[in-house]
Amino acid sequence: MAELLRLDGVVASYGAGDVLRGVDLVVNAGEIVCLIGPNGAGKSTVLNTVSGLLRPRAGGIRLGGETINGLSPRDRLRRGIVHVLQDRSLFPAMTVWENVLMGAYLVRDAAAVARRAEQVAERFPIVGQRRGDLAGSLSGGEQKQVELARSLMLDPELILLDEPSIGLAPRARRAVFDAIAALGADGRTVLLVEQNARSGLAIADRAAVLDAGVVRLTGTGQALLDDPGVARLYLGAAAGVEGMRSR
Amino acid sequence: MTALLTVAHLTKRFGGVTAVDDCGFAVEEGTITGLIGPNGSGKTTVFNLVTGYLAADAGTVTFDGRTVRRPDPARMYRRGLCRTFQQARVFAGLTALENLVVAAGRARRALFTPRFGGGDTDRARGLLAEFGLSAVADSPAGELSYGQRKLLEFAAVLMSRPKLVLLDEPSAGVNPVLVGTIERHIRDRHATGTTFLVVEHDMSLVMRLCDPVVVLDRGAPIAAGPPADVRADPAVLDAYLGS
Repeated sequence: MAELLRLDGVVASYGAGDVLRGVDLVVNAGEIVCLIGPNGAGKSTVLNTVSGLLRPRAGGIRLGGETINGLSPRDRLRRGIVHVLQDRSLFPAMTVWENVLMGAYLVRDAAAVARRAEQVAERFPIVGQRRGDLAGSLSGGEQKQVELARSLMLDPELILLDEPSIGLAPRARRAVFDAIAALGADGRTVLLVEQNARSGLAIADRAAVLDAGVVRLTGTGQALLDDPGVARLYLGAAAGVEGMRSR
Repeated sequence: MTALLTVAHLTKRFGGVTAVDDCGFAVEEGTITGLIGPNGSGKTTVFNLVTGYLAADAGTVTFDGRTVRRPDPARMYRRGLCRTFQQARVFAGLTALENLVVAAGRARRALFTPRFGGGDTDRARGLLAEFGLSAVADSPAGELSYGQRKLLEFAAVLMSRPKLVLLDEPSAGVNPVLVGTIERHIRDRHATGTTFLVVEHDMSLVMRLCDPVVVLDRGAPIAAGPPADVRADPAVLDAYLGS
């Protein structure tokens, strides 16, 4: 598999202490890679350094072999890196359709943008169904679907997803994981941060455990799920989280 | 048992949307009551109405024997009602440790006395250690990650001495290992007489911890009762859990 993203010894901080203390990570094209780890381990910070929201103090970040350390977030977006933030990020007073169009804000050709939006709506039916509704009137799960749809507008090389399932009810949560798995099946490359670690690992091709700012362990999603040490330290008790999924 | 909190005919409209619609339920003293339901069913709005962050269009809130016409966050807090938020709210400019010491709720004057904080500080350090926050004890809370802020806000609740605690998705964004620590603290506090109302999407946690469970859909309860009954209710499966 071709290597798409590579982090070499990335060190980053917001203020005093270093949050990332030398992160090495590779994401190959077409993979879903899930990043798990304790609170404060630096998972969101890794995504921030990749999308350019945070400049690393040291280390290299390469996309398709080219160093992108110095590029602004906008230039990284042009190179195909899209970042779906942890917080809900739709514009609540704009319609669903307008929100999706905003995903191609960098593109001037309105006709091309509209065509692209129609394609995206095929993948995410809610975009068509709720087209004229204000985004703020959608439920949390629906909003996340629209955010995922919007992230596809620039036909990205790499999608960064920060805890997409946070705050979602069980049914909406499953729909989001299904949507991410479908992105993977389409051949998209996804770097996913998830505290619903078992669900995240289950859809990941590969995964990495981040702890105290360094990658401690990598493996296939299944291998980490099966690792008793990982379970004890990072996954908690074997949860019947889906225990209520009866019938 | 007596009801510590009762809401009756509670209604809240946002423009054309009725978020909470003639909603009524009670939280009995000494329970850990669960409040579940789909996204957008009105759970957080109920919290906001009960605590006074929003004014209801109709209905009443009765807390600890008194019906409050216009709940106000500060007054409800002084009366013993404490809450957390989905997106944790902490004092960004105070350190993690200071956030906890302040939450102990000493008289304002005491904040400026030289002996302030001794026992509270020890207790706060203990809690920070349990939630894996010792390394950031002296960092401004504004520098903490999302999950760390959630843990800090939960610890702040443990520092105070409320009668009723409203928790809004305590496990969201928290590493699964620490969810067990949160659960243990809720049980400890419950054992010493604190009542809880918990909004939560982690169903295994709800099933272990909460009894009764109230299920909200479109702004009003569609089911309430012991967890085993609620999980088997076809209306709940349909609205919330899916098949």
